[in-house]
Amino acid sequence: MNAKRFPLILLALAGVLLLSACSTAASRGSSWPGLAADADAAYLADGAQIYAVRLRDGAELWRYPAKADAKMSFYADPVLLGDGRMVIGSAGTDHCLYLIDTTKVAADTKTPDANCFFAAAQDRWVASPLVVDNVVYAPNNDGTLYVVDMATGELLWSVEIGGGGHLWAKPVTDGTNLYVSSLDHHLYAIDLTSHAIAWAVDLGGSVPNAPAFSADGKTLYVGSLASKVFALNVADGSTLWEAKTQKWVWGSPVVDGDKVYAADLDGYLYALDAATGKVLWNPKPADAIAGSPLVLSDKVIVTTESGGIFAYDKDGKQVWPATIKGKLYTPAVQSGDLIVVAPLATGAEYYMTILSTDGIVQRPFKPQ
Amino acid sequence: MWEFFISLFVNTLLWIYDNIGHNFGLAIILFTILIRVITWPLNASQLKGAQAMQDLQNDKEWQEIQKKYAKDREKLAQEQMRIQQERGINPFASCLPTLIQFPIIIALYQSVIRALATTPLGLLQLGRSIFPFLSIESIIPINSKFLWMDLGRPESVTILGFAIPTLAIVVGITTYIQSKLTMPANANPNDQTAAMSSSMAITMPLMLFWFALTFASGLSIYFITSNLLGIVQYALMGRANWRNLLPGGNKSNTPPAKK
Repeated sequence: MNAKRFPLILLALAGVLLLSACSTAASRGSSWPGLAADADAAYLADGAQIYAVRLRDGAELWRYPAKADAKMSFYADPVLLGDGRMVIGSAGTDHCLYLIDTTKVAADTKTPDANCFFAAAQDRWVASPLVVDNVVYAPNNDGTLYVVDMATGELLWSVEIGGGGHLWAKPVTDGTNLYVSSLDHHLYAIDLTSHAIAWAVDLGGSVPNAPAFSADGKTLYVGSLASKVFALNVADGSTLWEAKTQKWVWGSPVVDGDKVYAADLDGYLYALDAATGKVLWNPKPADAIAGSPLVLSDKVIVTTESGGIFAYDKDGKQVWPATIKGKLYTPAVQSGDLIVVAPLATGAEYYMTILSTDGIVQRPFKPQ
Repeated sequence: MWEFFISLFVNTLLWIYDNIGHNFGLAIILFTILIRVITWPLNASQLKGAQAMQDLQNDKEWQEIQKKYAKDREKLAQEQMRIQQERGINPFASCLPTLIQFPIIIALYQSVIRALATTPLGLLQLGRSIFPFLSIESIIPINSKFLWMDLGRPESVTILGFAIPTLAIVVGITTYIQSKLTMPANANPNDQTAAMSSSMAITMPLMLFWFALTFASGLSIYFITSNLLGIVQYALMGRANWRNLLPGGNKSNTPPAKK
C-alpha cells in the first residue's frame, strides 16, 4: 500500500465508522422498545426482533424474525388481537405491517407464522395501529392514515392528514370518528363514514401520544410538547380546560374515574381533576417520565429515565420504589398480578424485567 | 466537548431554519456557507502553503539535495525538513483543507440526523440539545422535504425504472473538479505534494460519492455546496488550474528525477 495514501484511507475509514454508528436502522437502541402483555406472555418489540416471553418463568417462547433482518425494525407496541395473533408495523425500510400468528410457532426455528399484509406506505411505522373487526387503522410516519383490510391486505381508504408527516401515536375511536395525533401539533378527528377530517385542533406543540376518552366518552384528554394536558370536547374539538406542566408531556394521559393521570419530562406525575383540570397532587419521584402512567386498581405506576419504577396510591402517597439498570421510557404493562418493564438497550442489563405489583423483581429476561 | 460541538451545529442549523421559513435544505446550504466563511482564512493560508510547496520543487537547492542524498533517504528527509522549516513551508498544506472537512462532515451528519429526529428517542435527544433562545416546540417537526428530496434519507431519482443517485453523482463530480483544480499544473511525478494531491483527486470523490450514496441526502447538500464554494474560492484566489480539467491537462513538463 502506498504509504502516502495510508493516512487518508485511515481517516476515511474512521469517518465511515463514525457516520455509520449513527445511521443504524435495525439495531437495538435506536429507540425505546414496544411492549404488550396478555395473561401468559409479554411481547417485546426490541428493534431487530420481537420476543415472546412466558411470564411465569421468563422463558423465551419465540422470536421474530429468527435472525435479524436489516430491513426490519420494531419499536411500536405490539397490538394483541386476543386470539393469539398480533399486528405490528416495522420501523425499518420494508414499511410492512405484519400479522403474526403466535399459535403457529415452528418447532425448529421457534419462529411464529408471520406475513407482511401491507407495504404500500411511504415511510416507517412508529405508531401502533388500531384494529377493529379485522380493519386496521394505521397512522404512518409519512403523514397518512391507512385503513387496511387485515384479511386481504387491501387498502380500503386513506387520509393524508399530517402536514409534514409524522404520525407517531395509536388512534382511538368512538365509533363515529377516529382521533389521530400528529407531530404537526394537531389532533385530528376523522369521520369514519365520509373519511373527511371532521375537526382539527392545534395543541401548540407536537403530539406524540394517543388521546384518552373520559368515562362518558364525551371528552378527550391529550398531552402535547407545548407542556400542557388538554381536555377537548369530542363533538367539535373545543378546549374544555388545559393544565400546564413543567415540561413536555410525552406519554398518553390515563383516565381513572374522575381523575386523569399524566406525566412530564421534568419527572412530575400529575393527578388532575377530570372535570376541571385542577392539579390534585403531583409528586416528582425522580427524573424524566416519558411513558404513560400505568393505573392499577389501587395504585399508579410510573417509570423514569434513570430506571426507577415508582408506585403511588390514589392519594399521591408513594407506596414503593424499585430500580432496574437502564433507561425506562417505555410504559410499564400489567398482566394479572405482574408488571413488566423494558429499558432502552443502551446501558441496560436485561431486555425486560418482570415484577410483582408490590415492586418485587420476579425475573429478568435476556435472550440466549 | 464533541457533544457541545454537535449541539452548536444543531442550534445554528435550527436557528437558520427557523428564520428562513422552515426550509431545512436552504438552512443546510446557508450553514455550509457560514462554515466556509469561517474556515476561509485557514483554507486560504493552506492554499498558499501548497503553492509554496509546489514552487519548492523547482528550487535549485531542493533539487541539489535530492541528487546529493539520493542514496541516503534519512539524510535527504532531514535536509528537506530543514529547508521547509527555514522557508516556513508545511509539507501537508495541500491535504489539510480537505482533511479538516472530516470532523465537520461527521458533526454535520450527526446534526442533520439529530435535527430531523426520525425516532422518538431522537426527538427526545433533540429537545435536550436545544439552547433556550430557540422555541423548539414551535420548530418541530422539522420539514425534511427539500425539492424532490427527503433530507433524512439517501436520494435517488427513478428514471425508466432505475433508481439513479443523482446527488451522489453530482457530489462525486464536484469533488473531483475541486480536487483537480488545486493540483499543480506542472506536476513532477517525484513531487510529494503533487503525488498526495493526485491521490486525493481520486480517493476523495469516490469516498464522498459513497457517503452520498449511503447516508442522508442532507449531507450531500453540504458536500455539493461546499465543493462549489471551494471552487469559487480557488478561482477568486487565482489558484484554480482550469487546464487540469482537460484530458492530459496536468501532464508533467518536468523530467523525472533520477533514482
